[in-house]
Formats: sequence, structure tokens, C-alpha cells
Amino acid sequence: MHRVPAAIKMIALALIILLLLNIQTIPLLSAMLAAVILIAITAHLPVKTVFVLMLYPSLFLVILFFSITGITVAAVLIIILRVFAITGAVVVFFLTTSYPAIFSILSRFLPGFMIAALFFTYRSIFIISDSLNNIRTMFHLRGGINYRHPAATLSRLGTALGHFLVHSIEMSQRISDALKVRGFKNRIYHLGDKNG
Amino acid sequence: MHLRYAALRTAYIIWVIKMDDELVVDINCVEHTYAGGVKVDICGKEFKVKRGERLAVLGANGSGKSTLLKHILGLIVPNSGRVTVFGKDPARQYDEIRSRIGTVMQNVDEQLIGPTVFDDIAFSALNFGLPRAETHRRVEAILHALNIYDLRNRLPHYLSGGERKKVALAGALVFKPELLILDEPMEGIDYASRREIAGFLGALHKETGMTMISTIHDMNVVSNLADKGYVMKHGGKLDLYGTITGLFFNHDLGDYNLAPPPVVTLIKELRLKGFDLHSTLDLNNLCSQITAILESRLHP
Repeated sequence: MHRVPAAIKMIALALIILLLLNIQTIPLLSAMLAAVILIAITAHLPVKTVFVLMLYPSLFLVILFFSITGITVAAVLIIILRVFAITGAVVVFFLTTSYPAIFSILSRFLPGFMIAALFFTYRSIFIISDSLNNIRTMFHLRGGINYRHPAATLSRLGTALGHFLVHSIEMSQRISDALKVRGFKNRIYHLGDKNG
Repeated sequence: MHLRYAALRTAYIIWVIKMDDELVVDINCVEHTYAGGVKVDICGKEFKVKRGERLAVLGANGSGKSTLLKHILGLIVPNSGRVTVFGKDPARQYDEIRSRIGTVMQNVDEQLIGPTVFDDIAFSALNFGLPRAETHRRVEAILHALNIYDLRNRLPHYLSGGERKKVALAGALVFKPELLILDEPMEGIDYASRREIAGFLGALHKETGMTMISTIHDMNVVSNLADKGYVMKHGGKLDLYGTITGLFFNHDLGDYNLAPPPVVTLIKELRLKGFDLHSTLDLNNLCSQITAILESRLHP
């Protein structure tokens, strides 16, 4: 799976998503979800990570189910299976393809500023997640969570969140400074893998 | 024919002298107030950097060193005072001087932009309009020079601290700038990487005569990166100026919350014990001096 060219994987992903959007039966959708999980296992991907990443859309599913009424159990199952199968396929694609390769393909048909925006979003996720992890660790180490005093814990969580927000704003200012001094002109270049 | 040759030679010598004396950076009492109300007033000694100089700005954390660099890079506009870089006002005319300045920022993780190490090093060169083939050639050369060729296809996020610094340095040097700005270049990196980077920058300066300005708070690495320096007091006052050796031996840097390198403390202590030692920051030189004194005492 890791060795399949990124372009082929991207086309396959698009076809799988199209297929999943058109399947209306629970057994077929279950089979597709099972196939995605099987691919993840045979590709030696960390199964726990795949499952955790697949869980992210469940938040939106909960909001969706709370906001609509008169939906049948079968319809609920179809939506859940479809969402998890699509998310699973996307997760497998991202975990088996290097982002410069994805970036390289997208650069062929998307305008430069969009690629730059997508790229910065992707790059920021790494930096912000590092920062968030540090704040979370410090919060635990300094006894920020006290289950006996939920109100105080919530208040401290708010402070930590505020701290994170300020930190993020300062960081984005520094990234903007770096872009300025490095002569950024709304384009990110990928010159391909260099061998030899 | 002889006269024409002599005239050309004289013109060349005048040009070289002029270039040597050319002021690259000139800062005159600049003041900046940050959004939080913190005011940094960079005043005191005149801050002037000539072409080819290696200069360090020494100061404790929070003294205003990074603010000074931000002024040079045109990232902040001074409330008052004057900043000139290559004869231009960087805050207003930065586009005209951008391609002449290479920068390694304090937090390099936020500076690394390219999808891969190769792309990141090529980033500024391509932005400044260097042709792709020439950029390729230069990136390959700098990757070899900094001994990071094996990292060329790696993602910047997964590099170690030392590797990230080297990649940022390569990205700053690939378009052959005339002025190199280094904000705490040795911070957060291991001993081996420090030695490697210091050695590389020393050789680069010898070979190209590139003007270098560094901010440093770790006094152990200053002599590897600069020949002269300013000492900055809290709040931005440029209090002292001189050679690095002179600053360490003629002043008490403890007043500035700076600890001199152990070699300086050792020489000062040995002088108190009656050893007649010359000022040096080179440990080998100190060893030779002590050996010579001991030998002369043992075999008078």
C-alpha cells in the first residue's frame, strides 16, 4: 500500500468515496468498512491510531442525530457506516502517502494560493498539536485537574485555553515574520523527491 | 597604457576601500512599544556594522536583542529614531534589500516552510527569482557543505533541533546573502551540532567575508561567532562595545546578568595568584601560557 503511486491512490480514494456515497444497503456498507480496516491492517498501520482518527467525525454525527427527527434505525446505521468507511479510507490514504507527494499532485490542478493555504493548514496542525500537547502536559503536572472541584477545574481549563489562544496568535505572528523575511510570494514550491 | 592600467588599479583600490568601509547597518536610538505596552528603547552606543564584520549582541533574556534584530529586518516600525540597512529604511523599503539578507530566527520550527528539506532550502532562492536549475545546484552544494545531504527528502517537522537549525541556516545561505542575521543560533542544540555550525560559520566568514550579526546569551559560544560585540542592558540600552576578548576581560559582565566563559574566570583567578597571563578565549592558548610559566619556574 505504501509503495502504490500517490496519484493512483488518490484516484482510488475518489472512486471509493463515490461508491460509498451510492451504496444504500447495510451489508454492503459493512463489507466496505471491513475492507478498509483490512487494508489498514495489511498495510501495517497502527490500528489504534487509525481508529482514533476515524472517531473524529463521530462528534458531528452526534450533532446531526440530535438535530433531525423521524429518522429510522436503518438510516442511522447507513449514515454511521458510510461516514466511518469514508473516514477510514481517507485516514489510510493519508497514513500511507507522504504529504509532499499529495501536495505535488494537488499542485498540478489547484492554483498556487490554494495550495499554499492547504499546506499552511497542514503544517500548522503539527505545530499547534505540539503546543497543545505541551500545555496539556503542564496542566496535568501542575495539578490543573481536580475531580473534587469541577468548577475550579473548568476555570483553570478556561485559563489554559486562553493561554493556548494567545500562544497561537503569537506563533502565527512569528510565522508571518518568517514568511516575510524569506520572501514569500503566495506560493509553496515542491521540487519532487531528490535521489542519488 | 601604463597610465590607464594605474588609473584602473587606483579606482579598484578606492572601490575596495569604500566597500570595506561601507556601513551595512546603522541604528540610531530607536524606540518601539509592543502591543502589551512594553517599551524597548535601543539607545546608548551607536549601533554600526561595517561590511565584513562579525558582530554579536550580548544580553540577558528579555534585554531587547530580538527587538534590535526585528528593526534590522523591518518587522517592526520604530516610534522614533532611525534604522538604515544597506542605506535603506528596512521597515518601509524591505523589498529592496530582502534578497541581500539571510536570517535564522530563534524558533526555527516556525521558519521551516517547505514540504521537504530540499524544498525548504530552495524556498527563498526561488522567491527571489533564482532560476530553478541554479537553485538546484546551490541547494545540493549547501546540503553537502552542512553535511545534511541525507536529510534532503525528509519532512522538516520530524528533524531534531540541530538538524532544523542546519536546514534553516542552509535556507538562509542558499541565495548568498551579504548580511547574515542569526537570532540565538546555538540555542537548544547539542554540543556536536554547535561545534559543527560554529566551524561552518567561521569557515564561511573567512572564505566570503560575509557580514554576520548574532544575538547570543550563552557566552561560551560568542568567540566562535563574533569578533566584536555590544552588551545590552535590560530595556535595550547598548552599554558596552568592543572586541569580544576586551568585553570579557575589561568589564564585569555580571552587572548585565551575563556569566563569562570559564576560561575568562580561570585567567582572572590565576592573575590574582600571580600568574602573568595574556587575555585569551582559546583554551589551548591558555594551556600553552600556563605550561610556559610553569616550565620557566621549574627550570629558571
